[in-house]
Amino acid sequence: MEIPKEKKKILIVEDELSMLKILVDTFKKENFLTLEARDGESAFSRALLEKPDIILLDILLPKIDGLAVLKKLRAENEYGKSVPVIFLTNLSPDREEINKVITENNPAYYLVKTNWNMEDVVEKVRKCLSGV
Amino acid sequence: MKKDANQFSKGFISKINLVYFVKLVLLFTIYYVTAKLGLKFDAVSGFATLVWPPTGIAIAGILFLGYKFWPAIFIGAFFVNFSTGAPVLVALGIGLGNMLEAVIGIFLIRKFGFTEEKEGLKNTLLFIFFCVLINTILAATIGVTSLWLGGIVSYATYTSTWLAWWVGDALGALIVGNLIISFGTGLSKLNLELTKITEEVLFFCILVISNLFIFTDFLSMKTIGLNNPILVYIIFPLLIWASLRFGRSGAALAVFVTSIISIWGTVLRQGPFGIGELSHNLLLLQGYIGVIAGTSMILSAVIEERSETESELINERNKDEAILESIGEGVVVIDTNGIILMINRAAQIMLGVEPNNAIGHYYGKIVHIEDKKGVPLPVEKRPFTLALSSNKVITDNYYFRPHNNKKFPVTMNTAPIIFEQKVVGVIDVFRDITHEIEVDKAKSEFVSLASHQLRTPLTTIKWYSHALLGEDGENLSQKQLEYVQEMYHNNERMIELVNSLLNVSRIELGRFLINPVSIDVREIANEIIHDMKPYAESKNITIQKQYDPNIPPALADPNLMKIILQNLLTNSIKYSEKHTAIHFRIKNKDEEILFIISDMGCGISKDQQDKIFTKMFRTENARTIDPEGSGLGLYIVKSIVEQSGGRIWFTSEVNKGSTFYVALPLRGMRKRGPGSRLIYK
Repeated sequence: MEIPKEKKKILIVEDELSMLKILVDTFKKENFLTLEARDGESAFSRALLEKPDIILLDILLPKIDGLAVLKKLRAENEYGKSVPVIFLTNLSPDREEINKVITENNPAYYLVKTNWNMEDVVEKVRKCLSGV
Repeated sequence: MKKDANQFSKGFISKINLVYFVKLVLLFTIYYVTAKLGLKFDAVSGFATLVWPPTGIAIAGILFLGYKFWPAIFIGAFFVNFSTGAPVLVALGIGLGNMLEAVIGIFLIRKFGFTEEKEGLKNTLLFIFFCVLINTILAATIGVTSLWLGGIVSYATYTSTWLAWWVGDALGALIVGNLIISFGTGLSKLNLELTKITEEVLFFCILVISNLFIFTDFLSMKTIGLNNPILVYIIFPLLIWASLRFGRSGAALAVFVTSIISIWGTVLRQGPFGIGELSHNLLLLQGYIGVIAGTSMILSAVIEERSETESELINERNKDEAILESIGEGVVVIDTNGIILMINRAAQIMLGVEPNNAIGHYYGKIVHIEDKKGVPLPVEKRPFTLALSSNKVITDNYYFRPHNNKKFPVTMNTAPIIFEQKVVGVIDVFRDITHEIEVDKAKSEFVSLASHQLRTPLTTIKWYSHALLGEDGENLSQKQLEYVQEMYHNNERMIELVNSLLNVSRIELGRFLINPVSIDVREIANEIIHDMKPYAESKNITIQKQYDPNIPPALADPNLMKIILQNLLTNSIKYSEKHTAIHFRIKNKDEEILFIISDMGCGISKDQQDKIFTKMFRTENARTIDPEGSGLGLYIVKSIVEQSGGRIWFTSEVNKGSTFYVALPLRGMRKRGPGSRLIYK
């Protein structure tokens, strides 16, 4: 049994500083423990090292892209297989690859940034954490 | 300067005059000499001869040189007759008659359509009628009347002299005139092949020998009756030979040779026409020559016309073939058994084959056809089979895997060839689209990247301004909050515009994904209505739902359903008066699910109704009520509905309201994978 009040650890992967800043600020305010990564490689290593409860992952990233990060994680170990991942991106899901990666690598979600306000993103993260 | 120009032009004119004068003298000389020679033959009444070659020379001269050379004929005829002993006035009369004969003859044939450019039967018949039969009557009448008036011919001999004159002129025109004209117009077409020349030499040897044999005593080894009239028929097969093989000029020359030898023999009182009274025989001979000349002339004209038509047809066919051969796209013609009948250059290059190892071979052996995913097509799915069985044109994209060449993508039209109401084969027209695919891919990538780049700053503004409108903005004044609200609102507009443009470019690139899953459309509708509630309430508008109880789950793409309903509902609210109601109905129509959204808004005027789905079009009303709209919504909705196999329509009346109908097929939206417009792997 987990204690509900315990701070959840969230890894926020975002290369755009301005976006990273408001995401981190918001989640801190919402009582999350925030971790940051600004490229795919460090996102992968931080995730394995610090085992966050959830990962907010951009797709277009330096070094390796978000889709590759997810695939690597899922292939890595038990933790990597089960950690929920929410893609938060402005890339349209036109490419079949995106849909494919999401359906093949549950639990994974896909949000288009422009369509979501901060509070809705937080709500989505909470829902994912509670397994809804 | 002016003087120089003057001198130059004078020089020029005198040069022209000199050329004219030389030609005139030349024509005169030829006419005069020929006439003098002609008169050496036994002339009737001293002036009318058996064959009068000058008539032919005069006609040919006027035809080739032009009407302005009439003086050569006039003076020539005058001098010939004057020097033969005619009084000046009589000679002038004869000169006038001979000159008019040529000029009027040429005038008449030209008037009735004679052309030097195109030879043929018409020319020949015109020539025989006007330049042989008609104009010579004029010359004979003027000439003999002049003789009669001058007292040289008595009234008693008028008729016989006239007849001899007329026949002589006619034969002159027919034999000599035709000879010169056919050589003059046909010379450029002379066939100089060795075999042809050999045949021609052989023919003329046989012709001369036959003529000597028939009309003279030079080769009198005859065992049959010496002057048997039947012998003259030997000439006919020879003239037919000439007409068939050597054209008009050859036939004319053969007639000319025959007439010279026959006249010569007859004058020497040899051959079939040499027995009995000479004047009587000459008339018969003239008749004979007239018949062979006319016959061979018409025959050769007919044959020449036919061979010309034939070569024109061959030319046309070769031209058609050359056109087909040169088309930049691959063209392959296949019979109903799948055997290649024709393959053009572009196809040869693309498929890496030579015509001789393609034509007559099975098409399927030369190239394997694969579908867009690179899977080989089974026989029943090949365009060839489909075109033959459906009798329709099949257009699609494939991969070609030629036996001798690299695999490449093509777009191809396969059409059945219908000849006399039967399908006799198939014609494939294809084009390598490697480049198009690359461009298409680049375009799509550009659109998705560009939209990503555009959205990034918009997202940032959205998030920060939204934060200011919430807790983070608690220290802002009312005014400042209003300003941030404006920023937020306009940023939202911008986001919507980017989304719309992205949708439009997806539609136009054919990259709209349709991913149908089984959904309850009522749920989607409720969700949208829920989202719209704040907007509707801001205008005191109620949305009245009315769903049929038995709506089955439908195969539809939820995201696209949302775009459709969202757009239509937003429009309804936007263009409605405050305190009105919007009816939202979903009906089960067996084959389709029908969505009906009706409002009591401003409506669309009749004259703008046909443009309502046009991209960027906005009605006057719409622009007044909402200046911010992009005019893309209905265009996007219509494109989505139609691309997923549905229908959309509306009824509307100004100031009464509009009702929009969307019918989606119950069997589901048509699935569309990525890039189904072109091939993608």
